[in-house]
Amino acid sequence: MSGETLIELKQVSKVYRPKVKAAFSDAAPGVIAIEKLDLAFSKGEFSAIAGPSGSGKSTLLNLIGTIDAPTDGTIAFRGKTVTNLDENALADFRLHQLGFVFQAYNLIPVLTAAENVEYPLALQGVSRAERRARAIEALSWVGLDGLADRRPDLLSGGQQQRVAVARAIVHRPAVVLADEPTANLDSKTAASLLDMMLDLNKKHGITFIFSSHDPTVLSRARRVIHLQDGRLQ
Amino acid sequence: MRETVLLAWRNLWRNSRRSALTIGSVSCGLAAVMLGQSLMKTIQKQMVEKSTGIMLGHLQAQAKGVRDHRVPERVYPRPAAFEKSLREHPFVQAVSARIKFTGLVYSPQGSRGVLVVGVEPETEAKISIIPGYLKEGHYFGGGERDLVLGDRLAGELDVRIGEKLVVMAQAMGTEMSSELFRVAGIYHSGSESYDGQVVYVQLPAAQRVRGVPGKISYLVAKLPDPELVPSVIADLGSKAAAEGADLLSFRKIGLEVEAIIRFEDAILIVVLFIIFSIVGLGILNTVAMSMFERVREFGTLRALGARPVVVVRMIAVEALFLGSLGALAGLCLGGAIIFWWGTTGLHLPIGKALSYWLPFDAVVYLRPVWRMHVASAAGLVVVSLVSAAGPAFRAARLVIAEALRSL
Repeated sequence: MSGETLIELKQVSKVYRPKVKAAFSDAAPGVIAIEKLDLAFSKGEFSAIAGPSGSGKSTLLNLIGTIDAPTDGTIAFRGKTVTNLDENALADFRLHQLGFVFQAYNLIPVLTAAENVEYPLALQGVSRAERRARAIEALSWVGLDGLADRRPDLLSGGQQQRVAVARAIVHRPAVVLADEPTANLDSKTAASLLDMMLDLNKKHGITFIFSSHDPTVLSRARRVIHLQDGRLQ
Repeated sequence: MRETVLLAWRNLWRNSRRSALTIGSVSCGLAAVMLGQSLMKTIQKQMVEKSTGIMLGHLQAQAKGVRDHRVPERVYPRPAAFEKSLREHPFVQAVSARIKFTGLVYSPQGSRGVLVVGVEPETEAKISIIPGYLKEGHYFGGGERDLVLGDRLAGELDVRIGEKLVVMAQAMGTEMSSELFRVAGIYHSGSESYDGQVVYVQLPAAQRVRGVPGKISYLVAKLPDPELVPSVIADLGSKAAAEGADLLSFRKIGLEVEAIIRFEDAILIVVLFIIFSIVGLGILNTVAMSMFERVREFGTLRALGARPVVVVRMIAVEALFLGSLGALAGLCLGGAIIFWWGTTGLHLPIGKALSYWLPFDAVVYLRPVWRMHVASAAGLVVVSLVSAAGPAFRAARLVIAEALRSL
């Protein structure tokens, strides 16, 4: 672990306001999901964001992943602010620097496992032959050799989540963000997935930030950030 | 781009029944448009063939200043130099001269008001379809006093082949003039007005009755294709003018034909608009349904790093597939229907309606108008794309975090 700061949040807040007409928007109170949060993540971390339901874990990951915009504050990546980027620049940032693992796997059902893993590389313009080779390699890292041509509906939940992890790491992102990656898995499969993520972190130096409220999952993390009502505990 | 096309193609068949129904509705819409286009254009073509063949010709060179182009009130000397140029023009198949006026025809049993047409039988036979309608006798050839008339008029005057008739008209600028003719031929065109009101005599005899020896109402020309008329007018219009004539298209003379063609074309545009709107709404519905079902997927793609344009492109390609497959199927379906009715013929009551004015076959044999059909197919593809634009831009503007929460 080099200790280089990858992501830095300064005074970040997120307030969800109900969708009402503009004339009434000031009157609508809104829900504070994240409140004036200062937080930093270093390269090579294997960190967990913990907290009960509604504590702001997913919102925090969404903000770090730039798939939601903060109401206040700034988020910087390697010292450069990303909260002021336009849609295309944010898309490029996510494409090259981030990997995502979702609770419900979110694989594209019409693509095979390998095609799902290849997709970020296709967006990057990598040649067909190279991206196929890298997808097969990523699938082997997550222990799915031989299942490259299966569609998601022919894979178990654990296998689908492994494909999702392969998709998240195939383009060598700086950070993988995983929102409750084990929530839909049984305990044995969840433990296996976490071991695999930890292994990828150790062997390949990939930074993982994941959220969970499961103590057994959190016990694997090197750093646990506790959230309560959108604030650090 | 390959991935976008692959994804779009596979997405299309996620709900194969819905996609097949949409493609079916596009193809049926296009087939209906093609049928309408073919029917209208076949009818128009027959109308042009019949109206130009029975009287108008494709081109007429009339004296300058004529007010009523259908029965020119002015005559003029034959424009020899222009006539030579007209005959020698590569697009012109035949040229003849006519004199046309209204008069009375008498038989021992009665009289009728008629339109008298003085013709040159040899060249006229290359232009007019009347010789093809002869049911008794022959198309001139017996002498200068031969007369050819319709069977309805022959019946009203109670005359048969070889019997005598008197044609009387007002000689130009003087008193009434008359001449004796003998019935040489009786035709049946199926048109009440032609069969009951038009008589054909030879040009010199008609000129004598009209009191204008050597003069004509107009030169008439036949071309292999009515579409060539404008180019002949462009080539020879100024030469006609130099000899005191106006070179006119049949469309300018046969105003009824022109009006009907324009009316039918306007109907076609309305039908096209209605069908395009229906097809467009169908595709909009399919694309919008598909979009709402896949909101989380769009969120995932965007989260993975797809720019908004990637989402727009993917939905546009899906719509393009729907429109193109529908258009292709429609071209096949429409082509097959047109081929079928082009072979077996389509019975239309329109023949009866038009028969007073023009001879018109009750059975029409449809012909494809591929230029129009392909343009309509291309139009449908464009409509598909336009219909998908709304859902596509909406999908591209989704808030990713919200889209990912969608079920």
